[in-house]
Amino acid sequence: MIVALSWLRRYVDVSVDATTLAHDLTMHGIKVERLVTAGLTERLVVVGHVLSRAQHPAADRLSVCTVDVGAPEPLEIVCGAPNVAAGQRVAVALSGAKLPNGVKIRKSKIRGVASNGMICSQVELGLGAESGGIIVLPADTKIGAVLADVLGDSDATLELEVTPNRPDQLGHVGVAREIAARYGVPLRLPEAPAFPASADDGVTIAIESAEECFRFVARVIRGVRVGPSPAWLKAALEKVGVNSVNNVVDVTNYVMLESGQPLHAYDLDRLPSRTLGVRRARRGERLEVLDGTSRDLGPEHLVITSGDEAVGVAGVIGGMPTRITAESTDLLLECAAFDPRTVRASRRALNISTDASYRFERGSDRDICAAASSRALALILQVAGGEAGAEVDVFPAPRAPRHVALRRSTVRRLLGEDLSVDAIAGLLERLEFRRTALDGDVVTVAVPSFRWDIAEEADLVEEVARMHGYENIGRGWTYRSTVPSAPDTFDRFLERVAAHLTARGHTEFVTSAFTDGRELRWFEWADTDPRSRPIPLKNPLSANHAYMRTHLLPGLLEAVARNISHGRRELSVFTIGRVFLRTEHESGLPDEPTHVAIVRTRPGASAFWRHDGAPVDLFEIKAEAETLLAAMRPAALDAWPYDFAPSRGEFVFSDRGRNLGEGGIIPIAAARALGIEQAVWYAIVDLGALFAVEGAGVIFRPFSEFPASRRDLSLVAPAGVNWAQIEKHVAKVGGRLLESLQVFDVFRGASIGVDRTAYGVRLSFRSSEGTLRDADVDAIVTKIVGKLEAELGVALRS
Amino acid sequence: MDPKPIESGIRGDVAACATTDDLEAVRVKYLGRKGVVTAFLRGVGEADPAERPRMGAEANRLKTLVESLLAERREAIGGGDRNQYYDPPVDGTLPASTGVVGRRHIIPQTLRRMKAILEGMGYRLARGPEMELEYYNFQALNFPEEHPSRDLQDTFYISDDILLRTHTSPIQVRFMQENKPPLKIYAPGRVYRNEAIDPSHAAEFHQVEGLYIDTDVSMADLRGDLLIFLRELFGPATQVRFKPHFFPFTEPSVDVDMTCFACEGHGCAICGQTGWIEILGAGMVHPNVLRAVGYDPDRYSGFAFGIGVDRCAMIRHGITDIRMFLANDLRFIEQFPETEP
Repeated sequence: MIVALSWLRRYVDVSVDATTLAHDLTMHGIKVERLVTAGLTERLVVVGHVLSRAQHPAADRLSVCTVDVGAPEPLEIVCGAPNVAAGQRVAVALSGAKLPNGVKIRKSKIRGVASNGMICSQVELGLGAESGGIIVLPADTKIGAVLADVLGDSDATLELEVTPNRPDQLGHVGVAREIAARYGVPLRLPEAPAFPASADDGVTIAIESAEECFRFVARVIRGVRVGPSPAWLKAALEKVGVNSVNNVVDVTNYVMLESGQPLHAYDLDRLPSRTLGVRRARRGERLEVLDGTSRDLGPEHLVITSGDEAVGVAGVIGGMPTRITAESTDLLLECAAFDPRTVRASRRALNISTDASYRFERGSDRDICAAASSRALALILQVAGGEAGAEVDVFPAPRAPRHVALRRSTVRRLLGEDLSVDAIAGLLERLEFRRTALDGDVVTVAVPSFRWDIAEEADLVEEVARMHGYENIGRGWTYRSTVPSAPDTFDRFLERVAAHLTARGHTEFVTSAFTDGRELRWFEWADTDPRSRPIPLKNPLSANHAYMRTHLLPGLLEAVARNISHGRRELSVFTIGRVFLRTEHESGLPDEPTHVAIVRTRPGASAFWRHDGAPVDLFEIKAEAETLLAAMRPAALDAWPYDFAPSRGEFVFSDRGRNLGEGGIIPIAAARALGIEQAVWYAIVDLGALFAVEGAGVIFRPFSEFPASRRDLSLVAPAGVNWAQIEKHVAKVGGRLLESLQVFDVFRGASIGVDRTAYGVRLSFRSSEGTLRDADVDAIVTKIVGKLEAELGVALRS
Repeated sequence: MDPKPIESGIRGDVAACATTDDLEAVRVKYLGRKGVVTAFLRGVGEADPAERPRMGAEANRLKTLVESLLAERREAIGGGDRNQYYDPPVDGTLPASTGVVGRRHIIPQTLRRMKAILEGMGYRLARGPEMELEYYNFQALNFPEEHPSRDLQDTFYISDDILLRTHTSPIQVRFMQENKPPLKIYAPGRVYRNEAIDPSHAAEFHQVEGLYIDTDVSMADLRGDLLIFLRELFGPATQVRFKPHFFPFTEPSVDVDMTCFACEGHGCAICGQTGWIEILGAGMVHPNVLRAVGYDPDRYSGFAFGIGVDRCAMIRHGITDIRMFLANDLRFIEQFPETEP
């Protein structure tokens, strides 16, 4: 909503400059988003009379003037202009004035002589180009007058952010009312003379539902001359960004911008009938509307009818056939009140938003329809001539007065300010909330019709707070006791995961939760896997944002690809975030587990002397998963069998049957599609599942004081046997005495036979009861070797 | 036994040492089990009792002499023992690492800072789903159906009654449904708005919601908590300013400004010369919201506030394009080492 300062001044005296007004209004709850000033707005520039001019004692080009500015004492001012002379009427910027060029005027000394202001040129006041000296005003200009008022062309427009609860601020009168309340000055409502509704023009109005049309005031005006608007009307509209159409339409716009009440004028002669109605449109009805388009109507639209023919969409837009044209002479002026939700549904179905629908959606004041109609009538008669015809006012849904009680204790409770009940009532009265009862510490007020957003006590508390000043609240505040709390354990867990990963050299990314679904082509998830069925959005930003992610990789890889394209080819990154998996929750909401994805890639040749130049391999990424789990949930390590599929280069690990994560290489085709030409490895861990792995409380176990016995074995495994199988048997036979098992070498080669693998294994045995004898250890090793031979065909290398 | 020739032998042998191996051989020759000084020491017991104290002292002197001469010589032949590790010698000024370390993204860093402050103030973490029921996102927060207040937040819909949360406020409602006052929570998380993306608008960003409900919680308490929070976050000189505003779920509602941390309120380019920066929205929880979760508004009151994590990071670090956060350019991320607790 744009308001003009000059327009506001018709209803309220504004004694501050535009900048101050904008600030005060914002602090008062009417937020000024933008202030545009035109002409001179500074009110500390006044008309002065040069009483005398003398040469400056220390500077040839300066003169010292005494100037009468209407104050009891004349001011001494040093002036550098060549054309200043005694007897002139001049523009004087007083101390404190801020000029458009940013200069702030202060009392000062110029070359030893006191100067109490500045005699201004038009450049300095932003009023025109350089003219070689100061402004000389006509000799009859009133001394001491504010120059801006004398010039008369000063103005400012204020762009207001009007919140949905304040439709009353969608007209200049409403804004003026807040200014009046803020400064405690009177409000002058526009004149709306009553016109007799004597003549009967045969107009009738039938309203189908009082819940959709609260009131309809129709007024006939005969014999107008449609034409251009007078200059004042055009100027007023143009200042707030509204184009002039013709004198009649301009008046309806003017009254709307003044009162907030939308109006519409029909050409009476083009209305099919004087029998008007308001009803839901019927399927199949069509209407050409004022934006020039022809619209199909239906039951979602409320329409104005004439002889049962739709002539306008109620509260949204008028019809083309009945619009005011240069030929129109007799008018029918509509000033109505419609249900906000009905208008909103109507205009959404039409996909149009108009100044009228914007206001009706937020709720218009049905009590002002008659006054606004009279006001428009008076203005039309003034600018377009004609005579007043009949008025028909159908008001099926008048509102009962609303009374709201406010307890002093509630003000104290919500604001922490202890105001007297009289003070509270006084503040509310300035906003036109009339006190209707006062009972002890409870004041009851009548809500004015233009403030129907006020429904209950808390709403009044806000009004009291605004008038009291938000800035005055809580000045003497001291800390009150708080509710004890403990840090959230899962959140701490996530922070530790991030700390662990950054300590291992991974950098964190924060990625989008939207995806285009490309991951479905990368991974061959079963149809039953919820990852294969990402949830689509009804209204995505674009096809690239069509679904919610079920996997962290797409977003992470996209970022990796971008960095590689910038020349960062060695990357070790992770992201923590939620994925969205379909479930059968009653609420319809998906599961949102928190995952971490780690991605690591490095081209063959590293650019660092210490690195051996090998690209990342499976074991490097698996190490990241292993160390993450070892750091965060060591208990899970006892039971996380890898489901390892070397043909795909993938691993999956789980704890007691619950999947914890997986990893491997990004399919080459997927990487290529992103423009990545190097191998990229990933690991994903479900952090919620990992967090849920229960670690038993840790009890200290005394460690053995006795020495360990080590045995190194070289085992040769036939094709088809993997390490995990060997490890399982060794661990089982080794039992409690087997303290550790390490692979120190893995070898393949012709010397041991094709497809065979040799493992160098170091076993360490230790007892807590005594030093193990060699013979005992040897016996266990023999058992282990025997078991491996029998079960897996694994033999000692000879 | 005369110690003199032993002493001259020691001096000569040590002086002849060229390597650490030589030094070890000399040590063994004199101090080993069958060493000369060791033998001398054994001889003390067999000597004339009158001679023993002098001989004992001599033996100890010889032992100390061997040790100190060997140590001196070890220094003299350069680097002492270290040489056996540096063979061949190395240039220790070479870089030991690439200097690349893992960095946390600035959004989680900022969020962590906020969390630490709020937890210190007694706020406890609460969380809720990002895909949310329309009821929690709007209805229970006093956004009537078909009301223009819904236009304040452009929404991504999944279905008619499921959407992507547009703010973290639904967590308030969920938490209040499950708990009784007094309660003091904060709720961090990602939120979604269906907005055209430009330098100051993102479709995905992050918020932290604060909520405090008890008997007699007032707007003065809100100002106090926000002042403490913002001073911890932006510096001890920070001031706050309350302006009236409108949010459906608070009454009274507040638009909170803080003094510009860069110019401390004097006016600069960051704050557009005003000295103030709009930092968050807040207010007293609307009675309708309290009623929706079964609280009696005559008994309980409370405040809520919501602050943008991305916006705070932008303000604190002079970032002018919100799209930087999800772009994940390492040249951006690596500029923000973790320097705060």
